[in-house]
Amino acid sequence: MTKTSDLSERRQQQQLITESAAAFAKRELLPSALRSGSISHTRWQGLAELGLMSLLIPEDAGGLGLKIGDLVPALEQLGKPLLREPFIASAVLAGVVLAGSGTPKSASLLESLAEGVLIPAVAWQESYDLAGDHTSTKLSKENGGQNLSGRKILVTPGDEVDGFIVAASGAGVTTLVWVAANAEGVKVETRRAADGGEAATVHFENVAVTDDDVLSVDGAALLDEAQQLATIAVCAELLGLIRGAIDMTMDYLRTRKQFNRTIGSFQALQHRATDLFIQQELSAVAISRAVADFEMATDSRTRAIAASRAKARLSSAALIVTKEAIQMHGGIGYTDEHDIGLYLKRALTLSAWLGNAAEHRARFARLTLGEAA
Amino acid sequence: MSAPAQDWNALSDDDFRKVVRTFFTTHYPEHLRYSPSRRRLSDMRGWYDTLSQHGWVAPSWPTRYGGMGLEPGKLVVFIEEQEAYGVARVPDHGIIMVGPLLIQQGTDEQRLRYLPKILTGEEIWCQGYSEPNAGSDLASLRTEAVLDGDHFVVNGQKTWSTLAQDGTHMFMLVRTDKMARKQEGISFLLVDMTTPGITVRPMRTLSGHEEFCEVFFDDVRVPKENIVGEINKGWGVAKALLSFERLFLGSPKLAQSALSRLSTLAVLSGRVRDPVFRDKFTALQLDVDDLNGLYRRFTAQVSDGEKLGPDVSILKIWGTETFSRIGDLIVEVSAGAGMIDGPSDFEGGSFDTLSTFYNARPSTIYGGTNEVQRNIVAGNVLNLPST
Ligand SMILES: Cc1cc2nc3c(=O)[nH]c(=O)nc-3n(C[C@H](O)[C@H](O)[C@H](O)COP(=O)(O)OP(=O)(O)OC[C@H]3O[C@@H](n4cnc5c(N)ncnc54)[C@H](O)[C@@H]3O)c2cc1C
Repeated sequence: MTKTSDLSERRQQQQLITESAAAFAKRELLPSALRSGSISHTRWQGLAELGLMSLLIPEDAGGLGLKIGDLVPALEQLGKPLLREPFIASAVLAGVVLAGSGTPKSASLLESLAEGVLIPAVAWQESYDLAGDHTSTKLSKENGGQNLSGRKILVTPGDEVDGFIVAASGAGVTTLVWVAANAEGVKVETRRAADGGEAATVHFENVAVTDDDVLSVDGAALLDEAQQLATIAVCAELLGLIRGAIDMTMDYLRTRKQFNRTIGSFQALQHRATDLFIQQELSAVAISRAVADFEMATDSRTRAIAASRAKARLSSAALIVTKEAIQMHGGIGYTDEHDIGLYLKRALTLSAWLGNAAEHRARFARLTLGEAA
Repeated sequence: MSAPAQDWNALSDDDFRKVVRTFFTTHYPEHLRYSPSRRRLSDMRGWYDTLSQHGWVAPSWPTRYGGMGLEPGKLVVFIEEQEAYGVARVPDHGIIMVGPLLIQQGTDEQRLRYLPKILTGEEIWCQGYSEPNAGSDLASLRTEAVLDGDHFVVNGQKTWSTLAQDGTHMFMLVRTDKMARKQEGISFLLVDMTTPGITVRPMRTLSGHEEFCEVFFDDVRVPKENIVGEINKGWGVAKALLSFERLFLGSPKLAQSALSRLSTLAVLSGRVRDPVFRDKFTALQLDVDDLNGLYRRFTAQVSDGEKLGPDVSILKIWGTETFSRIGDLIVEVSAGAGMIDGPSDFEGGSFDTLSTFYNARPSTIYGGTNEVQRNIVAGNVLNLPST
């Protein structure tokens, strides 16, 4: 049982984190950063200085030991002006795997991550489908050492990373290994994501893996937990994005004039603006519910249901909102010069990454209705 | 001018379909099939020439002006085959707008001067209506033309002019009487883009292509005879043209080609067997079929010599929103590949998952936004009172 005092203490702490994230967002973030195409190491450092990199990392692994619910409001702040940096991919998805691994290697990587000098990526996906087969990459024993071969896709971030946590099939289990980006046998094919970020295809050809590089021999459950956490984190960023896009659009409706009236006075647009607001509020409650369920969960099924609940809503809402935002801006919304288009592109990217709405509805159905029929 | 006119309408629809299909498979360049974005003139020049040599540039123009003279049913067949084969649009403002307009409202001199060069592709047209502060409220446009001897002197700015950087000519709306009420002081001009004083600035769209331009006019002298219709009566001219535009914008073209892309993806991704997908696909297929039906109805009206009414707006609404829903489903079916800009590698081949989605965005904005189209239907078809 959590005591009331704990609760309010937690709330105060959340507020502090959220405020500092909001101040950082105001100072450092602009949607136009998406146009530059590359990661800013200054901003990455800045995120580290906020303590965000180690927020979810348990205290015994040198982190702050906080929960996903403590990160969500901060991510919302960062998502609002659009965050170019791969915080979720590197700090949440990779960070949680490193924290759960508990090897000397992972400890030193975690330290670098917390200092803002490491950008890792998790290379787990092999099929575009979330529910597809991701197990063709093999880790095999060969004359004393181990060897990694296979191909991973949609690796985020891609060519600007220091190294990859690769999920490979070993002796009947999913083993997680660390591979430095410059290791022999690693070939990165950069693909641009819609938002200008990266989603690389990475080829591993007979990459030598030492025992030190093995982060988790049987790491399926760890990877799964990290994925669910990252999925909820993406939703938080998407909620910020939704708020940002709606704010920008409402500002436009209040200022743009046609027919000697501000276009926001047209009832047709007022009703649709209201519909967008509904999407925003549904998104907020979906995340709250997912966070609560996730934090209470004791099994991976419950965690997956929680993550799917949020991602199904947020992936869908973000696309509805940003498409409508473009429409309400008219011609200017379709130019590369206006920032509202960047919200659409970021929404496309985050909606698809880690599973789109349809995939998460399908997973939700599988987990709640069973496989029958 | 062009090959001797043939009576295509005498063929059965099936025979005509075969002729069209053979024409495309024989002549259309493989590398230009299923183009993910709007093609520039430089890519399409060769195809324009081919169409021109065979008298196929203008399917809907009457044969006496060098068109194919297709009746509505045949026109739909033409479009279906074109989209099924993935034939890209040539720069076609001259073909779909200026031609029909001059045929209807131009002088003999104007028809003689301009139509043949549209058919040969020597002259490429762009449209100059919108201005930064005159979009949906087009009638508030401010680019002005002042008569000075035998010329109009044009000053002002147009914006969002599609492919104006490739245009040799622009048809534009200008204000010729600042005192008159909004719609009454507007004239319709044909302008040679090489006239001194015109500056074209291409702009990038959010999908990264230079598809439209800002065009600036600084003391641009346009011969008096380049006016279409009477002075200060340009709004009426433009309105007549708008119904051609709406007919064109509501044509099943976009949705049809998007549906072809969706079925390609369904095969590449293996989704064809998924019952959830089959349901969604079929709903869209039927939406496109009925769009075709609507389109046929409106084109029949035109070929019967009837004027198009305000109800043609429903075609633009349904056509572009069906297109948009298909774009959404393409992204959905693409799953993780829906985050990739440019081609993704599926087991069956490569596929650009976002191009249809991106192309669908402006379709509900250009040619009069869908909100404006709905206002037109509510007010002028359903006769609902205005606020
Ligand atoms: C890709 C593209 C190509 C184009 N090509 C050309 C071209 O070649 N030549 C040319 O002249 N123009 C062109 N246009 C311009 C196009 O016609 C205008 O963008 C369009 O008319 C809308 O005007 P606007 O952009 O100023 O938007 P606005 O009129 O400012 O509209 C903004 C929003 O307000 C809504 N709105 C406005 N009035 C009302 C109302 N009364 N009731 C309800 N809602 C309302 C609109 O629907 C829209 O959602 C093009 C546009 C695009 C996107």
